[in-house]
This record gives sequence, C-alpha cells and structure tokens, in this order.
Amino acid sequence: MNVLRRGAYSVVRKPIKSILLLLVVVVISSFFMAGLAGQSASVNVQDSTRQAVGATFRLELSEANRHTRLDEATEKIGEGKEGTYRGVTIKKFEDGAYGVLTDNSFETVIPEDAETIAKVKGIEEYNLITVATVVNPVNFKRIEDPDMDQSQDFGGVNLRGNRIMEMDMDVAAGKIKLIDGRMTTKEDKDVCVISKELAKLNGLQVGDSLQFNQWDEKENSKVYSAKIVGIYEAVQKLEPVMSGDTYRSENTIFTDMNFPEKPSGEEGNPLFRYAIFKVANVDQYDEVKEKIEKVDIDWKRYDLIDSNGNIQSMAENFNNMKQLSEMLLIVVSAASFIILSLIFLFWMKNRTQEIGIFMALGESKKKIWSQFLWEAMLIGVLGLVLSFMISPALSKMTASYMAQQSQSQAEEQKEATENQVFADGYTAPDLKLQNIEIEVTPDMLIKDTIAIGGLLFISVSVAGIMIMRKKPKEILSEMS
Amino acid sequence: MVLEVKNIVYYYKTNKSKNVLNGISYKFEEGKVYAILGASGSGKTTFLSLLAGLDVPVLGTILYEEEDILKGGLNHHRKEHVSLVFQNYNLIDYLTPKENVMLGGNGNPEELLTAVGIQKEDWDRKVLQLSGGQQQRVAIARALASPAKVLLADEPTGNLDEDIGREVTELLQETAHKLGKCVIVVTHSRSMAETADVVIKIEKGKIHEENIREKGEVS
Repeated sequence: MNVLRRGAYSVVRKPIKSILLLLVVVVISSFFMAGLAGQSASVNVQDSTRQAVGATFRLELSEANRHTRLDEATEKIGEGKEGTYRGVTIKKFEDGAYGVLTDNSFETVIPEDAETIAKVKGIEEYNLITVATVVNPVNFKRIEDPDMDQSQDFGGVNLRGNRIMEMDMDVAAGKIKLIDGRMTTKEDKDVCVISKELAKLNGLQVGDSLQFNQWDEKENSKVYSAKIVGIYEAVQKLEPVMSGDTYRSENTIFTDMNFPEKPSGEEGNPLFRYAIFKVANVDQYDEVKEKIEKVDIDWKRYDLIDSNGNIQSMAENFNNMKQLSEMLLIVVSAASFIILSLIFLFWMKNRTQEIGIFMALGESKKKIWSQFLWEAMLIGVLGLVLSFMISPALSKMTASYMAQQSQSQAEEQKEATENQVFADGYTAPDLKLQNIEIEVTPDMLIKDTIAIGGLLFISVSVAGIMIMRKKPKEILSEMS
Repeated sequence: MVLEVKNIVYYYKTNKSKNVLNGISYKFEEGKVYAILGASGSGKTTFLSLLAGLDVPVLGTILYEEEDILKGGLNHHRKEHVSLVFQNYNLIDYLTPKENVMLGGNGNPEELLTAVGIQKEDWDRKVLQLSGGQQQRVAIARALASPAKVLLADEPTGNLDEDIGREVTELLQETAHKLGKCVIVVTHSRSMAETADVVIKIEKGKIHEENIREKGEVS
C-alpha cells in the first residue's frame, strides 16, 4: 500500500484530528487572506474638493501628518510654555488660554516638492494653487447679500493664486467660463481674473487694476495692485470655504501664483494648498504614478490623490491600514507557525507507535514523513478551498474594521485641535471614509496557497525532526 | 544458514561498563523454530532487535545469507529479509485487517488472512474491533505477506490466553515447517519453548543452545 493511499485513509478514518487541523488551516488561511486583501485595499474617501479633471494627480497636505507634526511641536515647546517650533507657535492669550498658531511654512505644499515631482518623466505640466486668501478690497466694492449673516465674516474678498489658471480644479471641471480676456499663466505677475458680477458692480474691465491690502490691517498695511486680464462667469457657483460674503463665488478673484501672499502680509512666504500634475499620456497613468511614488520627498507630509479620488498609500492615516495589514500578516504567520508546529508535534507524538510500526516494516523515515506531509497537504487543500469561500466576506470585515480604526484615529486628532487657530484660514481637506474596495484576486489566492503550503511544510518538518531523529528501537521501546 | 551473528557485542550508552551481549556468535537456519529464553534484562529482546536491524551492535556483524545487513541498509533488511511480530500486535489502527496485511508485502491478503484463521467478515472491520488473538493472527499474516525468510517474534503470545497462545504457536510452527521460514521467537512461554526446534538461552551476555525437552526447564 502506497503512502498516498495510507495518508488518505488516515485523514478520512481519523476525522477528529483532521477536522481540528482543518479548522486551524481555515482560520489561518482566512486571516492571511484578510491581511493580503487589506494590503491592497483601495480606500475611497469622500472629498469635498475632489474633482474629476482627467489624468491628473493632486498633492495636498496629509491631515493626519499635520496633526502628528502639531503634536511633535507641542511636545518640543513643552506643556504650559510659549514658543515656536518648525512653523508652530504656542501663544498665551490675555484671557490665559493658550492658542496654537501655524505659519505658512507649516501649512503649505512646498513648491520645491511639486517641482521635483513635475520632473518625473510623463508629467506634462503642473499647477500650484494657493489657499483662498482673504484680503481687503481697496479700490472696489465686493458683492454682498443683504440677507447674509456677516457677523463671522472677514469683510473682504478671497484671492486664489494659480501657477496656471487653466489647471485650476474649478476651471478644469468647467465651473468657470472665461467671458473676456485671458486666464493667468505661469509667466504672469500681479494680474487677476474677476467675476462678471464684480466687474459689473464696479464698472471694471480688462486692463483695469484692483488694489488690495490686509483685511485685518486695512488702514496701515501696504496696498498691492493686480491688473485685470480676464473676466469669468461662474457656470456653477464655487463652494465657499466659510459662510459670509468673503468666500462667495462672485468675490473669488483668480490671480497669478505669487500675488495672494503680498496683500495678505506674507510676501515671500506663500501658502499653497494643492499641486496638480497633468499626465501627458493617459495610457501611462499607472506607470507615471509608480514613478511619482518613488520621488524622494517627505511623503509623510502629503496625500497623493489620483483622478478617481483614491488616496495612495502615502496618506498617513490610511497608511495605518497597510501597516495593520502587514502586522496582521506577521502575527498570523508567527502564530500559525507555532500553532501548527505544536499541533504536528502533538500529532506525531500520538502516532509514535505508527511510526515505529512503519520503521519495523522497513519503511524509510523519509517515506513516513512524506505520509504526514501528504495528510497535512490534503487537509490544507480542503482548508484553503473553504477559506477561499469565506475570505471575501472576512477580508471585507477585517479591512473595514481597520479602516474605521484609522478613520476614528484621524477624527479624534481633528477634534483635539478643532478649536486651535490656524494662519490664513487654513482648512484641512474634509476626508471621510466612503467605502473600501476589497478584492480577493487570483494573485492573493496563489500567495495564500504558497504561504499555507509553506507553513504546513515547515511545521511538519520541524515536528518531524523531533520524532524522526530517534532510532527505530527507541521508538519501539517507547511503544512497549 | 540464512542468518548469522558473529561476535556480537552490545552495551547501552548509559552503561558502557556492562556488556548486555558479550561476543555472541550463532547461525540460524531456514525451516526451524528457534526459541530464545532468558531472564528479564538478559538481553534477549536486544538480541532480537539486532537481528531485526532495529539497532546495530557495538561490535560484530550480522550476516543475512552471508552478507552484512549493513551493506544493503537496515531499512532494506527490515523490508526484505525479516518480518516482525510483536507482543502488542502493532497493527495500524486506521487500516482494516486486509490493509494491514498489505503493508507487509505483496502476499495475497485474503489468502493469508484465511490461512491464519481470520473469517472473511472480519477482513474489512476496524482492527481495534478484533480480539487480541485475532489481532495477533493479523500481525502474523502481515509478517507472512513479506518475502522475508526470517520471522522474528517478540513474546507473540504474551498478551494471549493459553488456548489462543497455543494456536499462535502452531501458526508459527507451520510457518517454519511448511513455508520453510526461519522463525525466531523471544518467549517466556514454556509451551512455546517446548515446541521449538531449537532453544537458545541467553545468560550473562552469552548464548547457550539447550535441549530443554531433556532438561525439562524453561526460564
């Protein structure tokens, strides 16, 4: 009787040990699959600013990393102390409360990083977009709604600087239509594009100049001028950052990239919210993405968001999920190895007599070991099939749990700093977990099969060494 | 002469100062039943283990048909030259009697089971459902399925009652006398020793051939 038949009989006719091992394999394999699925899960987030603008990538600050950097600065400055660390200032106010202030160097997408990414082969052009910067209109009136509650309003207009206005997200999305003049370009300096409502109210036309200064220093701050090069119509109203008329669509003035920092009193210290990268060839999108991810910049600082709004693994908060998945894989592997080795050790110990009998009958140790391995593999295959059936659901559950953990962590951090004051009206992108796409791919099945097969092989080998190194007489003595 | 031991010396690694077997030499022939007697701890089971290739002597050689058993390997020796019957039967519990016999070699399991007195209805039962006597018969059938010319049995009737033990003894005699095999039995059983063709006594690590029928003693 050959080893294969003997092994099959042992598996079928000793069901309790087989079922025990089967359950262990199913559990291990399922968790392995969950770990693999979690690693490749695509986390979709609800992003209020997201736009589908073709084959582009958007770089923006990672909110989670921003909180990490804030925590780090707070820790460095020390509890109950005033001070400044890497763009973060802790200040004690008159009422005794402490406030956290951040400067533009802390909040900005660093232009040099954007330039570095822009050098990647396959990137056709890039844009830098400033935050909506509040300034005071000096020589013109803004659009106001008499029914609007202006109690929290800054009383100004908002400037949005673009390196290339054509690549502004709202322009690319078709929300803005140019009705006169032209858009701003990267060669421009001190120019702007205004809404038709603003032009009409003030009797402005292309070629006129608008003057601005600081909204909180209206009397004493320096006035800067920007020449109107174009007039736009909002096909779809731009979403305001805050209530009040400062941020209303008609009071949004597009400028060249470096203008907003001047009348806001931050000249030489720009605050860019986004960098947009346009891919030359859509067919090479994934290839370019891989290249971008390899660029040597501080990726922890950023989220890279593709055209579909998928945040890549650089997003620190959701990167936790990848780390959790990796951790899950390591823990499952280590625990599985120990558990399986113990099971097989116990298994072989209980089968000492059988091993002795086979040895007495002239079977080689290798052949006896191969029977145990064959039995383990038979059960392993059945276990894998079962786990493949349940793993999509389990993977989804596990990944959802891990993503929810990441999300809650991010929300907790956000709540903790909600009342802190940030410079220039910075608002973090509102990223909320929308769904997680988990797919159990053939590649994962292969990896899982190899991993479980390997674990079974190693475990049977480790357990086998303990028994097989004994002489037949020793085994037979143990039997008697 | 099928099996020969030459100047066998054996001691346990834990007690090298005391030789369990001290220069034993002997020749075994086919067609005979040999009974090995000796007090507990005299080394008779160790001697059987050496003959079976389950262990190797410290000194000396064991020849099977004039060839050192180490030459072909001990696995080969156990598979092709000797077959074993144990006191506690040592059947594989998840195999049926028929399948257990098939483990022994290429002999026809049904014929062998019939020959040792196992009824057809018991051929495909679980071996643990058989009585002790039946299990030992299956073990003998398994040994007979082997092409080996030597059958080694360690206390084959030790767990059996007298009547069943006698039947097993007769089976072993038939194996030697009808099938022409060399049957070497380690036993404490007087009746078994009395029916053996040759009785060997191991004492103080040495071997003595005895005619117990004349002496009327069995250790």
